[in-house]
Amino acid sequence: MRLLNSRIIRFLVGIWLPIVLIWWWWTWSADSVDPFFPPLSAIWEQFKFNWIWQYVPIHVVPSLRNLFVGYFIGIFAGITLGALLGASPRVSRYFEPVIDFLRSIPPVATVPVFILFFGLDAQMRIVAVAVAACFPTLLSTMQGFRATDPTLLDTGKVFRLTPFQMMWKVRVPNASPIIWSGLQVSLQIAFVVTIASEILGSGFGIGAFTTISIDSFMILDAWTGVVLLGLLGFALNVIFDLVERWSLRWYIGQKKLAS
Amino acid sequence: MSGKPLRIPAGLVSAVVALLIWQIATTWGPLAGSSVPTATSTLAELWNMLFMSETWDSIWQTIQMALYGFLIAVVIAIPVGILIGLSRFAFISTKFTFDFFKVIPPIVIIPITILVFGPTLQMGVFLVVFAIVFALAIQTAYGVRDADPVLIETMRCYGMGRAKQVLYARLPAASPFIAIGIRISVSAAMIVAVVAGLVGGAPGLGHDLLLTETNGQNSATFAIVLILGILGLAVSRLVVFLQRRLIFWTAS
Amino acid sequence: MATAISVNGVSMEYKTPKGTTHVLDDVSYEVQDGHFVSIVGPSGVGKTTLLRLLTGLALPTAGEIQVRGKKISSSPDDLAVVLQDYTRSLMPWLSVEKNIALPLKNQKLSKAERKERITASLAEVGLEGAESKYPWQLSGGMQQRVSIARALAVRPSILVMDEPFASVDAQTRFDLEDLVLKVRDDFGITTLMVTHDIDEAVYLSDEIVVLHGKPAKVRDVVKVDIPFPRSQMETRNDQRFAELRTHVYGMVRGLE
Ligand SMILES: Nc1ncnc2c1ncn2[C@@H]1O[C@H](COP(=O)(O)OP(=O)(O)OP(=O)(O)O)[C@@H](O)[C@H]1O
Ligand SMILES: [Mg+2]
Repeated sequence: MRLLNSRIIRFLVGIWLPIVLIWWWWTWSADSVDPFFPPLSAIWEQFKFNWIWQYVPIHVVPSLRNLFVGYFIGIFAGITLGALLGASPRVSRYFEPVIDFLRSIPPVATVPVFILFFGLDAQMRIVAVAVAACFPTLLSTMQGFRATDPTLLDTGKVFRLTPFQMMWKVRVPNASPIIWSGLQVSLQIAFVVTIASEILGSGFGIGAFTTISIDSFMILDAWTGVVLLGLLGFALNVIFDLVERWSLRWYIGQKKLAS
Repeated sequence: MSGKPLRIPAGLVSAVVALLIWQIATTWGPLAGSSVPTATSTLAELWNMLFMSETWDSIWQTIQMALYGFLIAVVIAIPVGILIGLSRFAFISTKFTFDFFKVIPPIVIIPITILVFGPTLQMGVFLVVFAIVFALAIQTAYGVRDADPVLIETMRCYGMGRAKQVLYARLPAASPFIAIGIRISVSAAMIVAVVAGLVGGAPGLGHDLLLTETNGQNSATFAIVLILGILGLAVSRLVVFLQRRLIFWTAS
Repeated sequence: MATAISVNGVSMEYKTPKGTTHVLDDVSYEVQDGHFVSIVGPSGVGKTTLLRLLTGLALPTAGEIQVRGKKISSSPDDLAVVLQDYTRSLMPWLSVEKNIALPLKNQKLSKAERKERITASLAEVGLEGAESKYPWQLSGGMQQRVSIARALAVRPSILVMDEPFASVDAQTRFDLEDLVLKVRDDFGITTLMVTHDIDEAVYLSDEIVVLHGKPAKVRDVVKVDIPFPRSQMETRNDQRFAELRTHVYGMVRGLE
């Protein structure tokens, strides 16, 4: 299997299955009369009609806005709190049980709670996303900060680095491989909560569009919503991976060398 | 601190303080008179619910969905993962497809499952399987591939067949990976079982949450959230405990 | 000659859950300006502990340490350190250049001056052109030279090193030893070095402080009366070198 060492061959081998699957779906559904499983070709036509670019402003834009605003608020809070708790074990002893409990609640289950707090508007969605996104980042930051190498802290002290430098040039980068894994989980959860808040809150957004389509028996529309959400979820992860890999290139390089 | 006999667990202190803050905020604080219930009324509701058979039915339905889904996923994912992990060609062929489905959250396909299954237990089970089967298979495959090549080479030299290699080298190498995958899967199964109820209408705690919320039974909504937290905590503790017991050779 | 560092009746105890470990007991010593002083002693005697006290990373339980007449309570200015564990004292997420630049950020330097310092100190340790490399892309000896370069770049008047050459190969070790001597000549830096290696201590030092015992005391201070400049080939074959090293060796092992 020497052949598989070539990148191009690996790429080709990697995509034959998805191609076959899509082709199979396409032909299998081609003359489907099942109302729940319309032909893929019809879904594709409808997809182009809906999402290029007719409904983008009213559904895609609010979804992405809520997702990103909530996500960034959430991870900012998560990193800040996690850094404070991780740097001071004595304080964190008191918070940990409460945090442990709160993170055991399925993130989506908090959406009804936020509806009680804030009603059904965009604000509710953003807060729900932010809170849900906060926890994984908080926990991973805490863990990362605890594991700070004492030699690095000593080095910082003997060279009289400022507290700001200690934080952003020593502790945060040192913890960053762990923080990044938390950030990724946060993003996935933020995505789920965004959709859930749209389905439960009704109105705008891709999630809302899809449920409304189901309720009004517009099956084709619902399928386009599902496909769009699937592609978006995948794209977010791919983009995240790229950013992470760029930011952690020192870490990846180091590990590659070690193995 | 010195006085040893007076030591109060930090967890208790923080739990009590959190409840106090909640109570104060909803009685006199910024949330007074809002739709957010007080801590006492929530706890009272929780106490009541503990004596209602409906509550326990819902808990059991949620656990059922999670459990069946989890078991089906394990039965599919681990053999598939092992097979994929044994061949580099199979691994590369499936990687992209599995990665794709792995990162698609099950909530995305809920509209379709509603069409196919309706708001039923089966729907919940299907969503749980969908949520964890791909990740678990990939994790298993990684584990199988992680086996020490020197060990495999040695076994081959001694004329041991494929089956023996799998049994004595590949599976032991994969077991810590599988253990981690299972730990993550169990938590995910519970979460998805709740989502299936809340968003898809499948029976169980998630559905109750939606009902109480739309009916304006706010203390009940909060009480269910507390139940979910306790349940989640209990499940994750249980898994850690069982794994310590059963798979003693994984150090972590 | 002025006193650079004075250690006055310093004792150190570590408090652990199992009780207190008394590591240093009433250690006193003075380092003269411009001198090269080595601290030797058996493993675990408290060399690193003494060094942590000198650099302000820990405070003594009794006694005091003065740097240029001022009692220290935190890491003093114009003192630079090369820590024992060099693989973990360079930041792996920063390039060589940025690692060296980090402590310079707080000195009032223009960008150009900073750049110049970095280039100059890298040249000093023979690592021209390694600016954009990451530490982990370099060999152990090169990493150690980067951490020496980082210390030199702050232009300290005192340089403190904890077993700086412990884990590099013999050839690199000789090169680095000569490098340190050259730096001392060029800048007139007062240098304090902890080492396991008695030959190295004799080769480099004006004075050798021998720690011994539990808790450790200053067993003796040996003046190395071999004239500078020294050279690896000749000095190490010198009659006096052999005598001194036998003497110090005996003390470290507790034979004398
Ligand atoms: N943070 C600490 N807490 C408790 N005891 C410590 C601590 N640091 C060092 N010790 C103890 O103090 C003693 C001296 O340690 P130190 O590291 O100073 O020795 P050393 O002379 O540098 O040894 P080596 O030559 O092996 O580097 C040892 O017995 C060690 O166990
Ligand atoms: Mg030491």
